[in-house]
Amino acid sequence: MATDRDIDDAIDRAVREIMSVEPRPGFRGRVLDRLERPSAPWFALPRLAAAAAAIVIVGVAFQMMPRAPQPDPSTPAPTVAEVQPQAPPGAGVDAPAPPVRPDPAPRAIGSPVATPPVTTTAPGTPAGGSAGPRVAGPRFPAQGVVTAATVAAGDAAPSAMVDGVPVPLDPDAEPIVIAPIPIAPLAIEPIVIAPLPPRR
Amino acid sequence: MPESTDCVTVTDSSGASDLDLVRRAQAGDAEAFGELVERNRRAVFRAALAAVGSAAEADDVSQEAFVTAYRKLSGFRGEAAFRTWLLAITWRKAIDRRNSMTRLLRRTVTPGDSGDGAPDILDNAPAPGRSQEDELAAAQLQRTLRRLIASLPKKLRDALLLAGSGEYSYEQISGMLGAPVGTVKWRVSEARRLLKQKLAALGHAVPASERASARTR
Repeated sequence: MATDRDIDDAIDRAVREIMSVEPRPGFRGRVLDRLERPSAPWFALPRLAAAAAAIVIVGVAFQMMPRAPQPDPSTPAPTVAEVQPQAPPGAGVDAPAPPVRPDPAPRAIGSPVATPPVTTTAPGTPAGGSAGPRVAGPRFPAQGVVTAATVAAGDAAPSAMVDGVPVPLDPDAEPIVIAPIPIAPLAIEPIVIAPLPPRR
Repeated sequence: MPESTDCVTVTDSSGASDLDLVRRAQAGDAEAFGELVERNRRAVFRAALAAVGSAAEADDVSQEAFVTAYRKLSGFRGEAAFRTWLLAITWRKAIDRRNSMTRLLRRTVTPGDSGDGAPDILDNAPAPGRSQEDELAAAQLQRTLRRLIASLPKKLRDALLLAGSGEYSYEQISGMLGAPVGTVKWRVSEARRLLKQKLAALGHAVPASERASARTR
């Protein structure tokens, strides 16, 4: 049976044999050759190259991500409603919803709806030579949503209902008049299709 | 186990010490650095081999270590022996390589792989007085031991291989592993204990001729 020392000797021998490998011939030349070679540029190092590529990918993905449009406060959408009530003075006028132009840019979901003051002239008040009550404005920014505007004629303090909220009207505001757009009849020219040549 | 070579300058037949060669290399003398490579190539290679377990990888790691040492040579001030400094660089490189090589986790060192004349116990002719049966049993034991050494925990295996190679002092091993000398010695002892325990569990008995040849060595 093997003694403890015998096993120690066997272990020593195994370790020596494992470690008795010599470097391949020409080692010195290979090292000196490497020294003469220029060091690899940073982008040749795998980890750095991978990190750089990841940064580029994230950057590109960020650029391509759809963004919520931001309203431009300097150029609000000029939306004007002009109401020509048919009812006699004194009676309440339910003005139809002012023609709000569609938003030039899609509105972000969940963005707050701005309800700026609505200016109007009181019914019967001469404003700009117009006899009837004229609702000038309201001026809505691009993101405003107006479902209806109601002007109560004869009220001391006229107001308009915007989104169900009474908004006081400014009597000093200058009305904005939009000239009607002339609508020309569509001229459709007949389409003439020449007959195909006979097939051979 | 050789004595500590820390702060001992190695000289060759030309009389130039390591430190002289380092100074010349720092001044741009590539030939002087080549001489340093020649002097230290085996120690560097075997340190790398102990860590990565493959002769081809160890060769590559050794070259990298020398290149790194050359580029950092201006920072070497001779406070420690050049070899100690170089071995520390080598070990870091080797550990980095080992960490990036998952395949080596299950691989043992096979000297025959390198094809560079490494001894293979199976190629040894039977020693006089040893029966063929004893030779086979000894070869089997060596194979088993290699497998068991490869399966040791890394810290124990590193210490055992470095100490058992006869190439380094305990101080140098301590510097490489970043552990006190006492810890290195304990790891070597623990590695041996584990190997013996596993051999016993496998029912391996050292043949008589193995015992005899070991004593004569």
